[in-house]
Amino acid sequence: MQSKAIKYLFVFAVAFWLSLSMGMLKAYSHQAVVPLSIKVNGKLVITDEHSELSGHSRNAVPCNISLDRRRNSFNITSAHRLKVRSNLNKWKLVGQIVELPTEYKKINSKNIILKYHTEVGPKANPNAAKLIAPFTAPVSISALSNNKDFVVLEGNSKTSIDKDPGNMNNWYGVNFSVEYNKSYNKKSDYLIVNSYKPKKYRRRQYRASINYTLVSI
Amino acid sequence: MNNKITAFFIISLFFFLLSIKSVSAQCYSITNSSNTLNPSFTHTFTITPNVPGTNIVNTHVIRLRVFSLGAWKLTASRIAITRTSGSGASSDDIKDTDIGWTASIRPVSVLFGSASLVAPFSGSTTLNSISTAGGTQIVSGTGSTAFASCTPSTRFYELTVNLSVPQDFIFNSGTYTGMITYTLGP
Repeated sequence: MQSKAIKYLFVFAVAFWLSLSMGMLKAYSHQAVVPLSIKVNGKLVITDEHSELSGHSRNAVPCNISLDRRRNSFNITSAHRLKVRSNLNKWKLVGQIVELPTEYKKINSKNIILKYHTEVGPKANPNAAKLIAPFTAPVSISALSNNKDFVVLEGNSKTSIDKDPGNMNNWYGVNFSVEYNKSYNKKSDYLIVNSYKPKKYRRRQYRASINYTLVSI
Repeated sequence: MNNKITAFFIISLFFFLLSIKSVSAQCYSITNSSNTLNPSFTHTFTITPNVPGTNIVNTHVIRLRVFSLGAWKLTASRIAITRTSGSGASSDDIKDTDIGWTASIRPVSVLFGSASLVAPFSGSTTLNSISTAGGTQIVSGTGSTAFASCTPSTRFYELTVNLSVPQDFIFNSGTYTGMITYTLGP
Protein backbone atom coordinates (compact mmCIF):
# COMPACT_ATOMS: atom_id res chain seq x y z
CA MET A 1 0.00 0.00 0.00
CA GLN A 2 2.79 2.38 0.95
CA SER A 3 4.75 1.49 -2.19
CA LYS A 4 1.70 2.26 -4.35
CA ALA A 5 1.40 5.67 -2.71
CA ILE A 6 5.04 6.30 -3.55
CA LYS A 7 4.40 5.30 -7.18
CA TYR A 8 1.46 7.69 -7.44
CA LEU A 9 3.50 10.41 -5.83
CA PHE A 10 6.19 9.76 -8.41
CA VAL A 11 3.68 10.03 -11.28
CA PHE A 12 2.38 13.24 -9.77
CA ALA A 13 5.87 14.64 -9.45
CA VAL A 14 6.72 13.75 -13.04
CA ALA A 15 3.56 15.38 -14.31
CA PHE A 16 4.26 18.45 -12.21
CA TRP A 17 7.82 18.69 -13.53
CA LEU A 18 6.61 18.31 -17.09
CA SER A 19 4.10 21.10 -16.73
CA LEU A 20 6.72 23.39 -15.19
CA SER A 21 9.33 22.67 -17.85
CA MET A 22 6.85 23.12 -20.66
CA GLY A 23 5.63 26.33 -19.13
CA MET A 24 9.15 27.74 -19.25
CA LEU A 25 9.19 27.47 -23.02
CA LYS A 26 7.14 30.57 -23.56
CA ALA A 27 9.56 32.87 -21.82
CA TYR A 28 12.33 33.07 -24.41
CA SER A 29 13.17 35.70 -26.99
CA HIS A 30 12.78 35.42 -30.73
CA GLN A 31 14.49 38.51 -32.16
CA ALA A 32 17.99 39.69 -32.97
CA VAL A 33 19.12 43.06 -34.28
CA VAL A 34 22.12 43.98 -36.42
CA PRO A 35 22.85 47.71 -36.32
CA LEU A 36 25.11 48.68 -39.23
CA SER A 37 27.53 51.55 -39.10
CA ILE A 38 29.69 52.37 -42.11
CA LYS A 39 32.41 54.96 -42.13
CA VAL A 40 33.97 55.93 -45.47
CA ASN A 41 37.29 57.69 -45.09
CA GLY A 42 38.61 60.17 -47.61
CA LYS A 43 41.52 58.72 -49.53
CA LEU A 44 44.08 59.88 -52.07
CA VAL A 45 46.16 57.27 -53.84
CA ILE A 46 48.88 57.63 -56.44
CA THR A 47 50.55 54.71 -58.14
CA ASP A 48 53.18 54.25 -60.79
CA GLU A 49 53.85 51.30 -63.08
CA HIS A 50 55.32 49.22 -60.29
CA SER A 51 53.08 50.05 -57.34
CA GLU A 52 49.94 49.68 -59.47
CA LEU A 53 50.73 46.03 -60.04
CA SER A 54 52.14 45.25 -56.62
CA GLY A 55 49.31 46.95 -54.74
CA HIS A 56 51.71 49.16 -52.80
CA SER A 57 49.78 52.33 -53.35
CA ARG A 58 50.49 55.49 -51.42
CA ASN A 59 50.01 59.22 -51.62
CA ALA A 60 53.55 60.01 -52.82
CA VAL A 61 55.65 58.51 -55.61
CA PRO A 62 59.27 59.32 -56.40
CA CYS A 63 60.17 59.28 -60.11
CA ASN A 64 63.77 59.21 -61.21
CA ILE A 65 64.89 60.80 -64.43
CA SER A 66 68.30 60.44 -65.94
CA LEU A 67 70.01 61.47 -69.14
CA ASP A 68 73.34 59.96 -70.07
CA ARG A 69 75.03 61.21 -73.19
CA ARG A 70 77.95 59.30 -74.56
CA ARG A 71 79.78 59.62 -77.82
CA ASN A 72 77.58 57.26 -79.72
CA SER A 73 74.52 56.97 -77.54
CA PHE A 74 72.14 59.09 -75.56
CA ASN A 75 70.15 57.18 -72.93
CA ILE A 76 67.12 58.89 -71.46
CA THR A 77 65.15 57.30 -68.67
CA SER A 78 62.18 59.51 -68.45
CA ALA A 79 58.69 58.20 -69.13
CA HIS A 80 56.45 57.66 -66.13
CA ARG A 81 52.75 56.84 -65.91
CA LEU A 82 51.12 57.99 -62.71
CA LYS A 83 47.58 57.05 -61.76
CA VAL A 84 45.60 59.10 -59.30
CA ARG A 85 42.53 57.89 -57.42
CA SER A 86 40.57 60.03 -55.01
CA ASN A 87 37.17 60.00 -53.35
CA LEU A 88 37.71 63.59 -52.27
CA ASN A 89 36.39 66.45 -54.34
CA LYS A 90 39.29 68.87 -53.92
CA TRP A 91 42.85 67.73 -54.37
CA LYS A 92 46.03 68.55 -56.21
CA LEU A 93 49.10 66.76 -57.48
CA VAL A 94 52.27 68.48 -56.39
CA GLY A 95 55.77 67.81 -57.68
CA GLN A 96 59.14 68.62 -56.25
CA ILE A 97 62.37 68.17 -58.13
CA VAL A 98 65.65 67.33 -56.48
CA GLU A 99 68.72 67.28 -58.67
CA LEU A 100 71.09 64.42 -57.93
CA PRO A 101 74.87 64.39 -58.25
CA THR A 102 76.29 63.04 -61.48
CA GLU A 103 79.45 61.13 -62.18
CA TYR A 104 80.28 63.28 -65.19
CA LYS A 105 79.70 66.90 -65.97
CA LYS A 106 76.05 67.87 -65.76
CA ILE A 107 73.91 68.55 -68.81
CA ASN A 108 72.51 72.03 -68.66
CA SER A 109 68.94 71.75 -67.34
CA LYS A 110 67.81 74.40 -69.83
CA ASN A 111 68.14 71.71 -72.46
CA ILE A 112 65.84 69.28 -70.68
CA ILE A 113 62.15 69.56 -71.35
CA LEU A 114 59.29 68.14 -69.24
CA LYS A 115 56.08 67.16 -71.02
CA TYR A 116 52.81 66.20 -69.33
CA HIS A 117 49.64 64.76 -70.71
CA THR A 118 46.59 63.16 -69.11
CA GLU A 119 44.42 60.13 -69.75
CA VAL A 120 41.69 58.34 -67.82
CA GLY A 121 40.63 54.80 -67.08
CA PRO A 122 37.30 53.49 -68.43
CA LYS A 123 35.51 54.19 -65.16
CA ALA A 124 37.13 57.54 -64.40
CA ASN A 125 35.80 61.03 -64.83
CA PRO A 126 37.79 62.81 -67.61
CA ASN A 127 36.78 66.15 -66.08
CA ALA A 128 37.94 65.25 -62.57
CA ALA A 129 41.14 67.29 -62.93
CA LYS A 130 43.15 69.52 -65.24
CA LEU A 131 46.79 70.36 -65.83
CA ILE A 132 47.89 73.66 -64.34
CA ALA A 133 49.94 76.17 -66.35
CA PRO A 134 52.77 76.13 -67.29
CA PHE A 135 52.48 72.33 -67.50
CA THR A 136 49.79 72.52 -70.15
CA ALA A 137 52.79 72.92 -72.52
CA PRO A 138 56.38 71.61 -72.50
CA VAL A 139 58.45 73.18 -69.71
CA SER A 140 62.19 73.45 -69.28
CA ILE A 141 63.42 71.81 -66.09
CA SER A 142 65.46 74.93 -65.41
CA ALA A 143 62.16 76.73 -64.73
CA LEU A 144 61.58 74.53 -61.69
CA SER A 145 63.21 75.44 -58.40
CA ASN A 146 65.03 72.71 -56.57
CA ASN A 147 63.25 71.45 -53.46
CA LYS A 148 60.24 73.66 -54.07
CA ASP A 149 56.71 72.43 -54.74
CA PHE A 150 55.04 72.99 -58.10
CA VAL A 151 51.40 72.12 -58.82
CA VAL A 152 50.95 69.91 -61.86
CA LEU A 153 47.32 68.90 -61.58
CA GLU A 154 44.31 70.24 -59.77
CA GLY A 155 41.32 67.99 -59.05
CA ASN A 156 37.80 69.29 -58.64
CA SER A 157 35.93 66.02 -58.11
CA LYS A 158 36.44 62.40 -57.18
CA THR A 159 38.14 60.42 -59.91
CA SER A 160 35.46 57.71 -60.25
CA ILE A 161 32.52 58.14 -62.54
CA ASP A 162 31.12 54.64 -61.98
CA LYS A 163 31.36 51.75 -59.54
CA ASP A 164 34.54 49.75 -59.88
CA PRO A 165 34.85 47.28 -56.97
CA GLY A 166 38.41 46.30 -57.86
CA ASN A 167 39.48 49.95 -58.31
CA MET A 168 41.46 49.03 -61.41
CA ASN A 169 39.65 51.25 -63.93
CA ASN A 170 38.79 54.43 -62.01
CA TRP A 171 42.13 56.21 -62.28
CA TYR A 172 42.99 59.66 -63.60
CA GLY A 173 46.34 59.31 -65.30
CA VAL A 174 49.21 61.75 -65.60
CA ASN A 175 51.98 60.77 -67.95
CA PHE A 176 55.18 62.73 -68.12
CA SER A 177 58.33 62.39 -70.14
CA VAL A 178 61.67 64.12 -70.40
CA GLU A 179 63.28 65.13 -73.65
CA TYR A 180 66.56 66.66 -74.62
CA ASN A 181 66.10 69.92 -76.42
CA LYS A 182 68.11 69.27 -79.54
CA SER A 183 67.50 72.68 -80.92
CA TYR A 184 69.74 74.11 -78.26
CA ASN A 185 73.29 75.07 -79.16
CA LYS A 186 74.95 71.70 -79.42
CA LYS A 187 78.38 73.15 -79.68
CA SER A 188 78.38 74.61 -76.22
CA ASP A 189 76.54 71.82 -74.52
CA TYR A 190 76.35 68.62 -76.45
CA LEU A 191 79.78 68.62 -77.91
CA ILE A 192 82.62 69.61 -75.68
CA VAL A 193 85.98 69.91 -77.36
CA ASN A 194 89.08 69.52 -75.35
CA SER A 195 91.68 71.85 -76.78
CA TYR A 196 94.41 69.38 -76.04
CA LYS A 197 92.51 66.41 -77.42
CA PRO A 198 90.44 67.73 -80.23
CA LYS A 199 87.36 65.89 -81.46
CA LYS A 200 86.94 63.94 -78.26
CA TYR A 201 83.44 63.91 -76.89
CA ARG A 202 82.94 64.28 -73.19
CA ARG A 203 80.35 62.24 -71.46
CA ARG A 204 77.59 64.26 -69.82
CA GLN A 205 74.76 63.37 -67.49
CA TYR A 206 71.75 64.70 -65.70
CA ARG A 207 70.03 62.98 -62.81
CA ALA A 208 67.10 64.10 -60.70
CA SER A 209 64.20 62.78 -58.72
CA ILE A 210 60.76 64.29 -59.01
CA ASN A 211 58.65 63.39 -56.02
CA TYR A 212 54.90 63.58 -56.71
CA THR A 213 52.50 63.96 -53.81
CA LEU A 214 48.71 64.05 -53.67
CA VAL A 215 47.33 66.68 -51.34
CA SER A 216 43.75 67.37 -50.33
CA ILE A 217 42.69 70.99 -50.59
CA MET B 1 -8.50 2.51 -3.67
CA ASN B 2 -9.68 2.78 -7.27
CA ASN B 3 -10.94 6.26 -6.51
CA LYS B 4 -7.49 7.28 -5.38
CA ILE B 5 -5.92 5.93 -8.55
CA THR B 6 -8.50 7.74 -10.64
CA ALA B 7 -7.82 10.94 -8.72
CA PHE B 8 -4.11 10.69 -9.34
CA PHE B 9 -4.63 10.07 -13.03
CA ILE B 10 -6.97 13.03 -13.25
CA ILE B 11 -4.38 15.22 -11.57
CA SER B 12 -1.70 13.87 -13.87
CA LEU B 13 -3.91 14.50 -16.88
CA PHE B 14 -4.50 18.06 -15.66
CA PHE B 15 -0.79 18.77 -15.58
CA PHE B 16 -0.33 17.05 -18.90
CA LEU B 17 -3.00 19.25 -20.44
CA LEU B 18 -1.20 22.25 -18.99
CA SER B 19 1.87 21.00 -20.76
CA ILE B 20 0.01 20.58 -24.03
CA LYS B 21 -1.22 24.15 -23.70
CA SER B 22 2.36 25.30 -23.37
CA VAL B 23 3.37 23.16 -26.31
CA SER B 24 0.64 24.63 -28.45
CA ALA B 25 2.09 28.08 -27.67
CA GLN B 26 5.41 26.81 -29.10
CA CYS B 27 8.71 28.41 -28.45
CA TYR B 28 11.37 30.23 -30.47
CA SER B 29 14.72 31.46 -29.31
CA ILE B 30 17.51 33.46 -30.94
CA THR B 31 20.83 33.83 -29.20
CA ASN B 32 24.40 34.66 -30.08
CA SER B 33 27.25 32.18 -29.71
CA SER B 34 27.41 32.99 -26.01
CA ASN B 35 23.74 32.00 -25.69
CA THR B 36 22.71 35.56 -24.88
CA LEU B 37 19.04 36.14 -25.64
CA ASN B 38 17.85 39.06 -27.77
CA PRO B 39 21.37 39.54 -29.13
CA SER B 40 22.60 42.66 -30.87
CA PHE B 41 25.40 42.34 -33.43
CA THR B 42 26.80 45.79 -34.07
CA HIS B 43 28.78 45.87 -37.30
CA THR B 44 31.13 48.76 -37.95
CA PHE B 45 32.66 48.90 -41.40
CA THR B 46 35.55 51.26 -41.98
CA ILE B 47 36.03 51.85 -45.68
CA THR B 48 39.34 53.25 -46.88
CA PRO B 49 39.59 52.76 -50.65
CA ASN B 50 42.86 51.46 -51.99
CA VAL B 51 44.46 49.65 -54.91
CA PRO B 52 43.51 46.96 -55.54
CA GLY B 53 39.98 47.31 -54.18
CA THR B 54 38.95 44.82 -51.52
CA ASN B 55 35.76 44.12 -49.63
CA ILE B 56 35.39 44.65 -45.91
CA VAL B 57 33.52 41.67 -44.48
CA ASN B 58 31.69 41.47 -41.17
CA THR B 59 30.16 38.25 -39.85
CA HIS B 60 27.47 37.50 -37.31
CA VAL B 61 26.57 34.05 -36.04
CA ILE B 62 23.17 33.43 -34.53
CA ARG B 63 21.72 30.31 -32.92
CA LEU B 64 18.14 29.33 -33.58
CA ARG B 65 16.30 27.12 -31.11
CA VAL B 66 12.79 26.00 -31.88
CA PHE B 67 10.21 23.85 -30.16
CA SER B 68 7.49 23.38 -32.70
CA LEU B 69 5.14 20.70 -33.91
CA GLY B 70 4.98 22.30 -37.36
CA ALA B 71 6.79 24.62 -39.70
CA TRP B 72 8.72 27.66 -38.53
CA LYS B 73 10.67 30.43 -40.24
CA LEU B 74 13.23 33.11 -39.71
CA THR B 75 12.22 36.41 -41.24
CA ALA B 76 14.03 39.72 -41.48
CA SER B 77 13.33 43.37 -41.95
CA ARG B 78 15.66 46.21 -42.83
CA ILE B 79 16.10 49.87 -42.11
CA ALA B 80 17.66 51.27 -45.28
CA ILE B 81 21.26 52.46 -45.26
CA THR B 82 21.38 56.24 -45.11
CA ARG B 83 24.21 58.71 -44.96
CA THR B 84 24.22 60.69 -41.72
CA SER B 85 27.27 62.86 -42.36
CA GLY B 86 29.55 63.85 -45.23
CA SER B 87 28.65 65.35 -48.59
CA GLY B 88 28.25 64.46 -52.22
CA ALA B 89 25.65 63.46 -54.76
CA SER B 90 23.18 60.98 -53.30
CA SER B 91 23.74 58.74 -56.33
CA ASP B 92 27.25 58.10 -54.94
CA ASP B 93 26.08 57.16 -51.44
CA ILE B 94 26.42 53.59 -50.21
CA LYS B 95 23.10 51.86 -50.60
CA ASP B 96 21.67 48.51 -49.58
CA THR B 97 22.31 47.28 -53.12
CA ASP B 98 26.04 47.74 -52.47
CA ILE B 99 26.12 45.54 -49.37
CA GLY B 100 26.81 41.92 -50.21
CA TRP B 101 25.10 39.09 -48.38
CA THR B 102 26.07 35.43 -48.10
CA ALA B 103 24.94 32.99 -45.43
CA SER B 104 25.10 29.38 -44.39
CA ILE B 105 23.11 27.33 -41.92
CA ARG B 106 24.06 24.10 -40.18
CA PRO B 107 22.32 21.90 -37.62
CA VAL B 108 24.09 21.23 -34.35
CA SER B 109 22.74 18.07 -32.63
CA VAL B 110 19.22 18.93 -33.75
CA LEU B 111 16.54 16.59 -32.37
CA PHE B 112 14.43 16.29 -35.52
CA GLY B 113 13.35 18.31 -38.53
CA SER B 114 15.33 20.42 -40.96
CA ALA B 115 16.11 24.01 -41.92
CA SER B 116 17.36 25.63 -45.09
CA LEU B 117 18.03 29.07 -46.51
CA VAL B 118 15.36 30.45 -48.80
CA ALA B 119 16.25 31.97 -52.18
CA PRO B 120 17.80 34.45 -52.83
CA PHE B 121 19.50 34.08 -49.44
CA SER B 122 20.72 30.61 -50.35
CA GLY B 123 23.23 32.26 -52.70
CA SER B 124 25.00 35.58 -53.00
CA THR B 125 22.66 38.51 -52.83
CA THR B 126 22.55 42.05 -51.51
CA LEU B 127 20.97 43.65 -48.49
CA ASN B 128 18.11 45.13 -50.48
CA SER B 129 16.70 41.58 -50.82
CA ILE B 130 15.39 42.15 -47.30
CA SER B 131 12.25 44.23 -47.36
CA THR B 132 11.99 47.38 -45.28
CA ALA B 133 8.38 46.39 -44.61
CA GLY B 134 9.55 43.20 -42.86
CA GLY B 135 8.50 39.60 -43.25
CA THR B 136 11.21 38.59 -45.72
CA GLN B 137 11.82 34.91 -45.20
CA ILE B 138 15.45 33.94 -44.72
CA VAL B 139 15.19 30.40 -43.34
CA SER B 140 12.47 27.78 -43.67
CA GLY B 141 12.36 25.01 -41.06
CA THR B 142 10.36 22.22 -39.50
CA GLY B 143 10.55 20.29 -36.27
CA SER B 144 12.26 20.96 -32.99
CA THR B 145 15.88 21.49 -32.22
CA ALA B 146 15.44 19.86 -28.80
CA PHE B 147 12.89 18.92 -26.22
CA ALA B 148 12.24 22.03 -24.13
CA SER B 149 14.44 23.58 -26.76
CA CYS B 150 14.12 27.21 -25.79
CA THR B 151 16.41 26.76 -22.88
CA PRO B 152 19.95 27.51 -24.07
CA SER B 153 20.89 23.97 -24.98
CA THR B 154 23.58 22.40 -27.12
CA ARG B 155 20.98 21.68 -29.83
CA PHE B 156 20.37 24.48 -32.30
CA TYR B 157 20.76 25.72 -35.87
CA GLU B 158 23.73 27.95 -36.44
CA LEU B 159 23.22 30.68 -39.03
CA THR B 160 26.38 32.47 -40.21
CA VAL B 161 25.84 35.68 -42.17
CA ASN B 162 28.61 37.55 -43.98
CA LEU B 163 28.01 41.17 -44.94
CA SER B 164 30.51 42.84 -47.24
CA VAL B 165 31.07 46.40 -48.41
CA PRO B 166 33.40 47.18 -51.36
CA GLN B 167 36.10 49.78 -50.81
CA ASP B 168 35.22 51.69 -53.94
CA PHE B 169 36.38 55.24 -54.67
CA ILE B 170 32.93 56.12 -55.96
CA PHE B 171 31.33 56.25 -52.51
CA ASN B 172 30.93 59.58 -50.77
CA SER B 173 33.03 59.85 -47.64
CA GLY B 174 31.06 60.19 -44.42
CA THR B 175 29.10 57.94 -42.10
CA TYR B 176 26.14 55.73 -42.88
CA THR B 177 23.73 53.75 -40.68
CA GLY B 178 21.22 50.97 -41.21
CA MET B 179 19.71 47.99 -39.40
CA ILE B 180 18.64 44.39 -39.88
CA THR B 181 16.12 42.74 -37.52
CA TYR B 182 15.60 38.98 -37.45
CA THR B 183 12.42 37.37 -36.11
CA LEU B 184 11.95 33.68 -35.46
CA GLY B 185 8.39 32.39 -35.42
CA PRO B 186 5.74 30.09 -36.86
